[in-house]
Formats: sequence, C-alpha cells, structure tokens
Amino acid sequence: MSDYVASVAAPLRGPRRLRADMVAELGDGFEEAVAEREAAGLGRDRALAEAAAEFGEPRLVAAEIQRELAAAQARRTAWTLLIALPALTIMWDLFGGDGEPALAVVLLARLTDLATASAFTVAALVVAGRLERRAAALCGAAGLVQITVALGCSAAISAIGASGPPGLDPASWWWLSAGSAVGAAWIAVSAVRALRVGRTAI
Amino acid sequence: MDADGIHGQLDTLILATLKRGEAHGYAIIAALRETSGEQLDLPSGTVYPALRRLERSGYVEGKWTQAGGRRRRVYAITAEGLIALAKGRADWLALREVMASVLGA
Repeated sequence: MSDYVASVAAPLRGPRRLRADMVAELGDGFEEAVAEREAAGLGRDRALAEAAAEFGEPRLVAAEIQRELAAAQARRTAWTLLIALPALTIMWDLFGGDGEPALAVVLLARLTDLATASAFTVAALVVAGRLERRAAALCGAAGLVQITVALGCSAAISAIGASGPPGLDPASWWWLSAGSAVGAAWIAVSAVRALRVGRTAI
Repeated sequence: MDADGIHGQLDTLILATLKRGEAHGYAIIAALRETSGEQLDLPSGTVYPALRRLERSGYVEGKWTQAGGRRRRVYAITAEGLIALAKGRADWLALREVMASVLGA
C-alpha cells in the first residue's frame, strides 16, 4: 500500500469489509494514476507525488469515505435493532408472571416499552432512508439507551420481587434467559460500534 | 473550475459520464478531465466515495472485475440513475438561467 493510500486509510472507522473494499478500490485507482505517469516517463517518486496531488488531501478523501462508512454502520445497527427489539420484547413478555402486577412494575414495563419504541422508530427511519444526518450516532445512542433502560427496569422489577412466579418450566426459562442475554449483547455491541463510528471526526 | 464550485454537481457529472457506458473509477476521472477540456480541477480521490454514495442511493451498480491482471470496480448507471441524471440536468439548466438573468440584469 502506498504512503498516500495508507494515510487516507489510517483514520477510517467502520464496517471492516466495506472499509477494506473502499480502500482497495482507491488503492487500485491510485496505482493506475501512478502507472500512467510512469508510462509517460516519470520516475517512481515523481509519479507517486503527482498522483497524490491529483487525488487530493488525504484528510479530505478520508472524510468522504468516512461518511459512507458511517451510513453503512447506521444501516447495520438499525437492522440489528429492527430484528432484535421485537424478539427481545416477546421474550421478556414470556418471563412475566401470572396475576395482577404492582403499579411500580407496570410503570417500569411501560418505561421499557417507551425506550424500545423510540429505538425502533429511529431504526425504521434510518432503514427507510428518512434519517441520514448523524444516523450512526443516533442509532447507537437509541440502542444503548434502550438496552440500559430495559436492563435497569428488569433489575428493578426483580428487586421488587413483584413479577410473580414465572409459569415456565426450567428448560424454557433457561432458553429464554440465554436468548435475552444474546439479544441484549447483540444490541449493545452494535450500538457501541455505531456510536464510535458516528463520533469519528476527520 | 475548482473543487468548491463543482462539489454539488459531482454526482450529476458522474452519472452523465456513466450514461455513455459502464466504467471504473479512474476511467470516470479521466473522462471527466477530458470532457471538461481539462477545466475540472477535482480531487480525484473524492470520486470513489461519490460512486459508493450513488450506489447506496440505487443510481449506479458496482461490481469487481479482473482485467489484464488489474482488479477494478466497474460501475453502470441504473434506471433510477437515469431519472436522477435528468433531474440534475434540469436543475442545473434552471440555475444557469437564473444566474444568467440576474448577472445580465
């Protein structure tokens, strides 16, 4: 990889495969620009310098590539939220005990629903292409807020001890717990990635 | 014309180039240089992310190819891209008319 392409690639953050693909495409084009100049009789160093001048400030090119990486990460995290949030909501509903829940439990459950609905709305807008500005950061923040609120409320409900005995056999309980943990971790990891990519300033 | 002056029109210029036939990034850069009579002073590196942006919008389709030992990502304009090009051209002509009226007044 030439010094020029390496300096464009250095500050980039985002989905690994797309990042490598975009850098490879830029690198192929850059090599073509260098080869064109070498064929015209320039030495390697001069050809590299002229090609770098033609391609533009590495920071400027990197900023444009970063914008695409952020858009791709936003869509990826948005799809994660669109798939995982309904699945988690169904699983958490199955945990619910029989009988009339206490008011505090109802309020905590509604708070979780509100955070879930907000994150789902942000994700749907991003996937529909209706939200582009700062989409990655928004998706990341919405996902993190949702998972924090949901886990916090679940912990509070357990502490209150008001959820009642779950009408589940041990095997179902185990599978639901494992599924919830995987779903929550999936959302958290994707949200953190989106926040990190969305906050990358070049 | 410098990069600031052309930035907003870059997508339309790329689509106009691809309307003549599919091409890879550096061929698009060369075609832009040639058809502008070397008047377009554009940082060539920004054409590559612009192509990905157009692909994300559904205006072009890109695929990797291998020719003469060189790997290239070749782009073709889509039906949606042709519509976007027609709109870009109409917008530009309208702007040119407004500028001509105001500056000529």
